[in-house]
Amino acid sequence: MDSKKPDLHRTSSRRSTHESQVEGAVPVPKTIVGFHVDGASPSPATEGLLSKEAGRSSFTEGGGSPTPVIIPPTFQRERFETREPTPQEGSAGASTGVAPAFGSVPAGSTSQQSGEGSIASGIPASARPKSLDLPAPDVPGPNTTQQQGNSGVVPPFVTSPAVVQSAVPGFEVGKPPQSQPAQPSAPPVHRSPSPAAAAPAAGVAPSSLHGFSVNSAQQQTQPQAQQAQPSLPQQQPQRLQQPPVQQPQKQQPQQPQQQGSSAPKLKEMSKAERRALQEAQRAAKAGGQKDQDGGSRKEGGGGGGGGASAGRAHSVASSESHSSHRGGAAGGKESKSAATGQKAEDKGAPAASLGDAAAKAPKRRPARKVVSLNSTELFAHLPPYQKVSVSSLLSHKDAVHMHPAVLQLGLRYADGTIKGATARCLAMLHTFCQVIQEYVTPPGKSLSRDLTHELNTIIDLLVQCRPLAVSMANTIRRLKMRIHSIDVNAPEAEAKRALIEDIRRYIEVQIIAADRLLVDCAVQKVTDGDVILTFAYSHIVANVLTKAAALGRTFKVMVVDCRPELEGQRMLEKLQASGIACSYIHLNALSFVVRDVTKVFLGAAAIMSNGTVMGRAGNAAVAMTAHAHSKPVLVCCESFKFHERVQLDSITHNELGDPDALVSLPGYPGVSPLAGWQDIPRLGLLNLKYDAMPAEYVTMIVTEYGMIPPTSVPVILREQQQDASASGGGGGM
Amino acid sequence: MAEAVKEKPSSFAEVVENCCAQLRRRQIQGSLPCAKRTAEIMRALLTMQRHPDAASLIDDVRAVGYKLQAAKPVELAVGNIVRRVLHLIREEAQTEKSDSEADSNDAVPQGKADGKQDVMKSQGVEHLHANEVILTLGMSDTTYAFLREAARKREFQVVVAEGAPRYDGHLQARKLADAGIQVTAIPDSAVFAMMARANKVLVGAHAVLANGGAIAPAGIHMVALAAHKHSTPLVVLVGLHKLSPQFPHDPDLLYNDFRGPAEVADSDMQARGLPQHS
Repeated sequence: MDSKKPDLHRTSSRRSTHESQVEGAVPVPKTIVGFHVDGASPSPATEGLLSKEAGRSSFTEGGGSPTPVIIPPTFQRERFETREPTPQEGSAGASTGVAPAFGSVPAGSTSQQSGEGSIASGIPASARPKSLDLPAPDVPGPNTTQQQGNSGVVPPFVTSPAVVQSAVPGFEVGKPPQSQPAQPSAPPVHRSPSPAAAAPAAGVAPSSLHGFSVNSAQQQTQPQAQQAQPSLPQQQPQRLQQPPVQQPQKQQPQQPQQQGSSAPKLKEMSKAERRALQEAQRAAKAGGQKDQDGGSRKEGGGGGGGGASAGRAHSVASSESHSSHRGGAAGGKESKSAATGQKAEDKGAPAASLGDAAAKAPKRRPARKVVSLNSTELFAHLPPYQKVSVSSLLSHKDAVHMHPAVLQLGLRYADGTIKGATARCLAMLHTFCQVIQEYVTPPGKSLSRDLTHELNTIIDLLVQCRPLAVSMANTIRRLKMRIHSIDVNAPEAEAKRALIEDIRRYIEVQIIAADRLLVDCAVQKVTDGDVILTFAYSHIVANVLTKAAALGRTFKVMVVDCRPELEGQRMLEKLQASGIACSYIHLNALSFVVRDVTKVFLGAAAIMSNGTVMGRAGNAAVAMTAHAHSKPVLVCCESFKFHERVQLDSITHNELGDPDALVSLPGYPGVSPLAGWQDIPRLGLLNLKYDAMPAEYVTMIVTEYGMIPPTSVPVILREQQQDASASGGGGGM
Repeated sequence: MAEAVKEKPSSFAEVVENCCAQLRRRQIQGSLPCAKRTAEIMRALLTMQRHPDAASLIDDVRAVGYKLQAAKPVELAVGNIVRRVLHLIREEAQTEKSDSEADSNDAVPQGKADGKQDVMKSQGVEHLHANEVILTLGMSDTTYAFLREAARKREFQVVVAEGAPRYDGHLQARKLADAGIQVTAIPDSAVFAMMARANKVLVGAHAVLANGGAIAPAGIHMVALAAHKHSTPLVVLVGLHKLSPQFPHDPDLLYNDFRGPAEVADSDMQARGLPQHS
């Protein structure tokens, strides 16, 4: 059977050419495309990621992705649970969660699916060092390997044991005769979906395996081995499509013990160790296969892999559990491992022990779900904060074809250079103009459709940098309607020119002229002797106050600021430059000063149709305090920021900022006790950007149409919609 | 100066003067240390001087009390302790008509500390249910002890606002997390947003006044307003030495303590505000 395994592999789902290449005499350095951790141990040049993305479908050409795979063992155990291929690009430069990254791990050996490189059994096998009874690796293994090409090699953690259990229990590839004794670790093993148990079963070549791709056969045996176990492992077989593993039974007892010895947590292992672990596992798997097949192929692969290290790894592997590895993995996997083994040149030895530990790691099943007591999970529906860097942006799947102005814009959003609803919208529109200017319709496509598609990709990229503001969303909607109305027969140059003209007019009307009218309107409300309170930075309020000062009114301003953004300092500078007498306080001191205030001027990021004002976090507290002391609150907001949705609290729609911004205390003598919060399990940080101010606190909203009460917002919205529909597709935005 | 207090001082007046100086210089921070110190002074008064009858003792205590309270008017605990001592003296005079009531005085500081602990132990569990969200602001030892005791029997989470510019909320969050309680730290600006999800607000206070109002670190007023808006119960945890019979006629002036602006606005900002001479 073992000898057949490679054949099975080959005959089953089309092996990736990678495999075939591997089988060749000259092993191609195999790099397993996995998720690429930014800043991890040096990997081949970044463009490899892009080329990998581009050439993902064709897994080989020898060019293959040079990016090595890094799959921490803890995640491997969860691989089995997800069956669907995870998106690959998540790996690209994903420094965010592991989940997306894992998806990208392609199943190497098998590739039923279009050529997603799949680390395949290589990974899962590697996940379990020599011993097959490592459930975790198996678990993912089945998915990964079986899913030929199933990118679910490393399924996101979402996997749950329940999923596996729901699988067809009766499906057993074939009962391994001697699964029981070999499973001292069975109980823990079977917890993990991966049928590590199958491993011990080893030799059993499930006859029913033929139903699976060869790749999984190996894994299948493991489930069989665990027949005694609850059905959970048995379900593995159907997922496992690896060639049956023919491991000596004795391996299993060894393995559990070894695994039990030490399971360094993933966190504790350094990146190097983790990689070493990976490589060792892969090498071990390769070594195991080599033992089983005893093929010269492996030798060739090993030799190609770079000899010494690979050999060392192999020897280690074989020493650990000779022929323990599922033979199935076929030459491809093994050679892959061998190939990658060379990466672990210096880590072969430690890798073995680490492999054991890692193998044990997957056995830990994720705890059953308990009621979460974490406030940050209230915001789980919002996209988590992602640190955006140039490299992470460039590794976005569309970044290659993107206009550089868009990338620039995205980066400026991400680092806060462009802040504020109006500024962001303005910058976005200018960038759109640039893009449209240089846009050329591909032959055979209509301008409106393709341009819309192009804009969608741009917007996706911008959203990656920073979620859209309401003002931007409104503008984009109108822009899309406008593009949609482009006449199909119009010449491209003319259509583009008209479109850019309309965008410019939109800016002129909705932003620039609106601001002017708004300022003229609001300035009437600034009287001599006023003490005006304002919060954080709003360009429109700053304009109002500077205009009032220019008109010669005498008033004082109280600038309220709050952490962590401290935007009030920018407001303070601007007002001081205009010669206005200012005071500066922190938000907490507001209740002390508010009794001396006469009016409150606030800006807004958006206004909902029930009058709720979305503004910088802290806005609501300012309005509430002012309202409690009977001070009038004036909100200055252009009408293009109005939105028709209704918002009840600040949690349903918000934006999460960088939690580390709370920890840094500039000017504070000493380090905040929150430093190192990521390592403290029960400590979470929450940095909200926006705040929903109820309409009852708002005295008046100043728009370019004049001063309206908060209840009139839906009226303005309705009129805008009527205008838009009246002008239809013909007019401007 | 501190040594003078430690040893047997040459005169009681020196002791009082030392204590006043320390209060003025903010070398004694916090209500409980001030209260304890005042109690020690009172005890010293009793032991070091002979008083023929209760009336003279009361006069002496009152005089010393005025001095101490004048040293730090915002620290109401000083006055509270003095009033307690006076009350005890009058009680003793009523019952025993004896000369020295030193024993009664000793019980004052100890009793307070013990009483507080018992309060924590018994009431923490009563007022918190499972899976509750507690909001708090800044650092308060009382609140910390309360929550830690309650966490032994109840599973809940705490949202701590940082309380700028002191940022003692960071310390509170860290201590609670180290004690095994699930904590989320938020900036003060997010208090209104998180109040929608908070079940209770637990805060400490500097003092509680006769009309029920509380003097607490800056920011508490907004937390209280937000709690009122969201109909969230607000609980103030204080030791008995903080209960004051004073009325807040003008609390912002009388019972407020100002700190330097450098904590809020760094010198660059302040320099920009200076008259520019080109």
